[in-house]
Amino acid sequence: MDNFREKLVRKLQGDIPLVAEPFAKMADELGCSQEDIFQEINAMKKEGIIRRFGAVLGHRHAGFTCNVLAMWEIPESLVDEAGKYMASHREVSHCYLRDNPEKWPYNLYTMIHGRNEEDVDRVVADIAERLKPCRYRLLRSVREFKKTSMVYY
Amino acid sequence: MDRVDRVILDIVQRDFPVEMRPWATIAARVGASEAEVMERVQKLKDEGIIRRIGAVFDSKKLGFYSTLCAARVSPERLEEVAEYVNRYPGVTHNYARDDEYNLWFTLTAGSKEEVKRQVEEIEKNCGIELLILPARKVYKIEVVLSMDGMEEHG
Repeated sequence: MDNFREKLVRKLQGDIPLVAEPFAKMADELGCSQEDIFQEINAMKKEGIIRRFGAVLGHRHAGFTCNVLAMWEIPESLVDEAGKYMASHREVSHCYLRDNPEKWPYNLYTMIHGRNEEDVDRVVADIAERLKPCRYRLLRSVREFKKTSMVYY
Repeated sequence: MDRVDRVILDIVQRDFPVEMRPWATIAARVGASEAEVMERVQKLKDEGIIRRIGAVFDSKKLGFYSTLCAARVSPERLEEVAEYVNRYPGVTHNYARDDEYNLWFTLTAGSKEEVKRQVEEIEKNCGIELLILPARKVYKIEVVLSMDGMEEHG
């Protein structure tokens, strides 16, 4: 990671200022032009280092108050098909295949967000029906201790 | 939140203009003034609907390693353990969940070895055993929250 990029990551990992020209001050501090910043952002987007540039919403405050972690036990041969089916639901925000320890059966993990419990239950029932027979476990969030974005540097 | 707010939310999530005057560009698209768009965005931030505006990085592509961790903690110690875990800067999400495994958090650090070191440190200092569940494949990683069909909240 070159020095300019690392310095720029530092500026972009937080919240850009809500001013008419948010990149002007950044350019001053980095000793470069705004154009240099735009080019580097676009380069990082192209390389996939920046997945997305824009607003990150607070789920709860945006009305998605019900958040469930669903863990699924899916045979290795069906994992791809199952993962893709789970991911196709708009209520499913994240879907990962995870390395599970030997004594822990669950390998596919989905985060499901809904405006209420019924929304979430409906999605779980649909996935379970499609993949049956399959063992799964639902973990509702009862308290948020921390939710933040990673500070890399 | 009204219709204009929802349109703004969709634009700032999906298609934020990375240019000199982003708010002016958004204003032109929604048919409002730059000042009005900025005021609306400030309000959405104050209400916690917008958590931040910036880059969402792929931590792996930046060279970082991360994993999901879970623990069984006795209910009377849950708060104390959660607070201890929160002190790690690489812990970005930490939730109590209604399960035998009642504490779930994500841990990110500069290398796999550093994550392992922090995991061992947490286990030792809290007297708990962590279940370590690193991702092997991603089928979906949150892109945006669609505001379509959101109820009007007045």
